[in-house]
Amino acid sequence: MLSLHGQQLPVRTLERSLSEGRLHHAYLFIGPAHLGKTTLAVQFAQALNCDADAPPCGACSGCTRIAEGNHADVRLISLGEEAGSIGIGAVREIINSAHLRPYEGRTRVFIIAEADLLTRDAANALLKVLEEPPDDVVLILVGNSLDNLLPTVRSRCQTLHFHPLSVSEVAHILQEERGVSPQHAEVLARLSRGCIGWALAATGDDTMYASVHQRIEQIVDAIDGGLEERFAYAGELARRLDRDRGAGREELLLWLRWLRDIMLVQQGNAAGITNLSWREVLEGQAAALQPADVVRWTHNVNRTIEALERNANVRLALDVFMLEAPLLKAGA
Amino acid sequence: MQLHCLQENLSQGLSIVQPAVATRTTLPITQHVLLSTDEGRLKLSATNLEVAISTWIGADIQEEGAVTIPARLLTDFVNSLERQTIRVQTASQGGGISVEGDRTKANINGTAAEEFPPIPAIDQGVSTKMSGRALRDAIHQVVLAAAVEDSRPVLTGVNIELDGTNVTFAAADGFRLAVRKAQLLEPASERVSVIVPARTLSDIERLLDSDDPVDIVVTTQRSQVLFRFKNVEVVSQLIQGTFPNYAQLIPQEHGTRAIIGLSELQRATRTAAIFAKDGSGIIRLQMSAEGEGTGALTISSRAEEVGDNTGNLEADVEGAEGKIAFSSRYLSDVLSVIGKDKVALEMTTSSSPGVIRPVDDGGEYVHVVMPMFVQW
Repeated sequence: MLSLHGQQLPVRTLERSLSEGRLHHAYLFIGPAHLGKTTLAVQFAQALNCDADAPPCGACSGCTRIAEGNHADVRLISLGEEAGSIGIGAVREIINSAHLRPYEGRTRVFIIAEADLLTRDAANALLKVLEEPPDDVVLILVGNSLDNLLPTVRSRCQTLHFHPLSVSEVAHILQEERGVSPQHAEVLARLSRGCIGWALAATGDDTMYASVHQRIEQIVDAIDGGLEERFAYAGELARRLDRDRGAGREELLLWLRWLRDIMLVQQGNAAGITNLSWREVLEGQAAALQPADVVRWTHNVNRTIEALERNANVRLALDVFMLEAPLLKAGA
Repeated sequence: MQLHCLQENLSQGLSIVQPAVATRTTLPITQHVLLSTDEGRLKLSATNLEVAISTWIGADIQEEGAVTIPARLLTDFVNSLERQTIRVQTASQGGGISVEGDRTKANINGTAAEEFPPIPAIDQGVSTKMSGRALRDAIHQVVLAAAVEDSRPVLTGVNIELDGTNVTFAAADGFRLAVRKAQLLEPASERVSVIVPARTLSDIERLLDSDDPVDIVVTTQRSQVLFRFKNVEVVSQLIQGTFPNYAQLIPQEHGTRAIIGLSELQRATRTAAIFAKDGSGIIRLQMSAEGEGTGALTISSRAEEVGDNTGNLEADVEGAEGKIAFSSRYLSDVLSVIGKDKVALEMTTSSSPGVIRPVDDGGEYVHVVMPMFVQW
């Protein structure tokens, strides 16, 4: 049996094609990160190669080795160590091995974990297999959005959409399956924004929550502080982003969520906030800021994200971001 | 696992499975060799998921077991040892082994045998036997015509058709086609046509060193083929797809036919290739029944900036005068595998395929080469 929290539709679709034996040669799993798209792709690969009555059994030698990435017929293609894209070389390897009959199982499965990152050439080369798929081959392309995929690739795959779960569903799962206390489950569920994978990982790894907590603490201090504290924060963040530019987007998304919470509190909808454990701080800051300033501030965050993606100087972009931010009203 | 074996046996065994050890790989464990005890012998296996090779060597086994070890490391170490009896033992903890000679001892880390991709075991299917020499010759003559890397994967393989006691090997890369017929020692139980990766067959050609019969088994699902000889088993995945219908590509008649001594033609081709190298590799052949004796073949090549060269060979020419140009590489490739003293070159026009075949081999081997278009 395939199983994935909160994704009934894709699971049912795949189950049906398994039971009816009507397989598509290529699937496209689309949705935000941490929803279990790759997990389901691996399960599907197991099911296609497992002989149990309700595949996958998850226990036979084939299933185990597929899960460990040691199966000869199931290949997970993801980003290389340093490359920022999946190149034509990887696709050529797929094409070559796709034309060999399965080695030990029934079906060769290729899972491209970051299909958004296929280069144009790679995607075009992949069309060859998508157009004339050999027998016994299933391709699963996993990606965050359809926008970055060539229309020619999209049109040759069956697309399955994955949607974030509701906060209450995530909290329920955390309580039921991981025995997390209701309060903490609620906190994690809101932080996860419906991405169950993140929430489950965070229950197993306390440092994930601690790291978010620490970063929010810094954001709070920067907002509370004057220009000096804010520039110090910008300087520290810039040093961190120099090493890992991708983290900038994540960090600024935390800002966006924080500002959204402030707006919610200002509009009297404190029940919907994401950062549940910071409610009192949020209320204080909400009182000290004009709603119009907060709105402008969120626009600034978006502009900064865009600037960073366009390879702006990190330190400068963050300094400008801080300079344009409104200061809190004194005495609040 | 604990056993004693001879260094030279282990070294030889490792060199047999070496071609199947993966080089660039997505599955690191395929760079390992699987050592396992098997009915009083030590079995060595390697697979790169396209081809799997197993071989058995004599060993004095004290304790059964199995383990996988990085192939490169083990081979390098064993080859560095002198001829002697060596002791192989799995480490008491972890997945490694210790290999011990008279004066040296090495501990090599490995992984559990369960993680190794299963080596396919094949007993059922269409089976037959072929003499080792016949198989080696057939592979040798066709494998060069297979495409190395092609967008059409079927062309990177050799089509093998078993029909009664007849077997036909064929390979083509879009510019040339090699077809070789041979006899089987036992009739195949069923008529079957499969495409075997050319690389696998090159490996087998290297490993075959005797006339002993080779067992060939094609699985019932037509997914794998097994070659078994002496102490070696090679299992290869088959390539999916339909091989081009090559019979219609072989010209059935010819306007000109020249019979030339192989060694003279080879030498003249080599000479012409020197100039052809700078002239797009074009070698021009002109056949004429006139001239002294029974006819002549002129081989020429030229490179604009460099110079030119003309060679005249005695030939036995029938039919009209003929002109055709070939790539020097394709011509020298086929001459190097033809294996008879006399070779026949057949053609109709300078824009239709030329046929090269050995004389007096009963029509077993045919090689078709597409001509190059040149201004005469």
